[in-house]
Amino acid sequence: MCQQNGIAPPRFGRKRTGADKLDLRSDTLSAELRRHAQSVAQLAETLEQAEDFPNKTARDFCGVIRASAKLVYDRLSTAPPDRLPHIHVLLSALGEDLRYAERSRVEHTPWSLVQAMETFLQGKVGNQFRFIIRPQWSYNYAIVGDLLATYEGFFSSFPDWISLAEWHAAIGGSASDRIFSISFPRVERMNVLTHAAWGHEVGHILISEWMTKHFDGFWQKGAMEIEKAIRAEIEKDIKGPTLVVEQIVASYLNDTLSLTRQSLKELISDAVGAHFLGPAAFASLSEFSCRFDLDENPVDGGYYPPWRFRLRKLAQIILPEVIAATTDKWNPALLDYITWLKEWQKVTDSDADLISIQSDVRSRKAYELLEANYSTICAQVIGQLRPELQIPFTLTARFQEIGELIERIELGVPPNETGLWPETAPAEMPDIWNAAWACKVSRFTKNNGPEFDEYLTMLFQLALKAIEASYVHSTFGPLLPT
Amino acid sequence: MRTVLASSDIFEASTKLQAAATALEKMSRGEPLRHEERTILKWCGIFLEEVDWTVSAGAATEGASNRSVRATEIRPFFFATLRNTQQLFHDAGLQEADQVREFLSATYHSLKLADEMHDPSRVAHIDVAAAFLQRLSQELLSRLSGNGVPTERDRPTSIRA
Repeated sequence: MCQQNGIAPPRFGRKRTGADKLDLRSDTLSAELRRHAQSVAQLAETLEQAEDFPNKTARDFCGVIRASAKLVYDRLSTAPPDRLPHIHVLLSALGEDLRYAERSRVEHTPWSLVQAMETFLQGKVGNQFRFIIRPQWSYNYAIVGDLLATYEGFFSSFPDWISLAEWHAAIGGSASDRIFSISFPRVERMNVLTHAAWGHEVGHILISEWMTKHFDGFWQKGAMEIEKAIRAEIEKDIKGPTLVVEQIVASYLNDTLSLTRQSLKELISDAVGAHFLGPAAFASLSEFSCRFDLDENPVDGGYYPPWRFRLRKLAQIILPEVIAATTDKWNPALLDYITWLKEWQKVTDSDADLISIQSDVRSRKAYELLEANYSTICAQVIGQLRPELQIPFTLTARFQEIGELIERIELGVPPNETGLWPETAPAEMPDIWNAAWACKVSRFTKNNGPEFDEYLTMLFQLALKAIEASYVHSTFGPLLPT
Repeated sequence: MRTVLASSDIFEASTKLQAAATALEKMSRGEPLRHEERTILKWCGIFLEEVDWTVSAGAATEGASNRSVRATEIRPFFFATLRNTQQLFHDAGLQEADQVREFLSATYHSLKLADEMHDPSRVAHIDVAAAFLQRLSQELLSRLSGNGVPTERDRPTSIRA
């Protein structure tokens, strides 16, 4: 073909002379991978046999890692020799991910919260979703997953070595699970109010479902126009070799893809958190954002939307209902709460974040695409939920229950149920969170000195107890004989 | 959320490119290919046409596959590899950018028609193609694994004498 196109037959570089060296590296790597796979399997087995996990998910996850590593170990002698480095990446991922399970053990987590949270989350997304909840030293929340889908992706890349059917058989019943790891800041282990951020993490699962189905088509529709804008901007300033220009344009387009994807993920997840938890989601994000620059360009900020942008979007969801509410029968702490929530509108009135976004062609184009589609995508993502879950949480609908819970907190009693004995009902988790936030804000507005810190310690303990007790009540109460 | 599924797309591409490179080397030695190897060659031909927008037909079409998420993500690494393998092409007598582009276009076409790659006179072409695919596979894998370089958090924040 080269002759036909008039291209001279390629002259080879120097012949490969390192055949012996190639065998030495391959043989060494093969032996190392065998040892590596065995170590990962043994470590996973040791963890799997620990008895101090707060839920079954972490233990079952260790079982998946053990079985996967053992399968690699058993089949290593027939591994394709040209892809041993890829097997290294696979084993590394399996071994590294054990940290999620290892850190989820009881001594590291607010263990009484874990089962309640997993049940709450499964109630929103389905029982096939399972969660490992663990602390991280980084001061942030995160969700990683679907871990099993990733391993499936890795194993499916070796169809000539290990079939997916073999891998599924090795891991057994876990093959149909979807396992995620949710992380929280270790130093905030007991700060259950900040853990309202977990509603946002559920949003990540829902937006990921949407993205699996729709994001490729969504991106493809906008990509050509975005590429033209980027190319025009680059070619204004760079008159270099074509390859350099192509690489920069490709890199910028990839940045814009990442900006679009990350902004959608974060903003839609915020919207889902607000859908399930109402003002508690907004309160948690507002408080968290105080630590950071509100207007960092997302190009420089790990592709994450500016905090002010996120607060504005959330305020647009939460505040209209709060502002329009008739509040004459509301608990006074709830009134303090909504006054405080409305204050945040002043923060979102500034457009400094928008100026930042406009300053770079990548963020500018990404956010144009986002803004044009945000409302539609929000509706589509919420539409993925079961019909009964599509009704958003509102204070207007829940003020009576929340008022009762606030009264319990003020008496130093966990806000775990409403009503009077024996006609009591377990409190709903969003109600507990909003009641606790209302109490926190009400106290903060009166006195935010050192006594406030002591109050918070008590509040965290009451809220944690409430979530645990409410979970026990709602899960096991119906099983008791009447 | 750190979605690890993007990682598995890159992992899949890396493994298939390596498998394709190995298959091309087999062909250059006159060895027959299995059906699975020809399938992977075809996959790589389609994939590379998606990624390399300098040669792909319909490049300016809205909704074209070369605007897919996968192609967008991998393209910067593709051009980085192209930049890093200039010597490979120069050694093969491909000095000009146009010559490289023609060679790559012909390579993608050949990969897509993997069943027709029997002619021994294409051996030289195939060896350069194999080397390029192997380098691209390595580039993608290095991005995933870090190639043994510690991550930001592993680096010491101070050096003690």
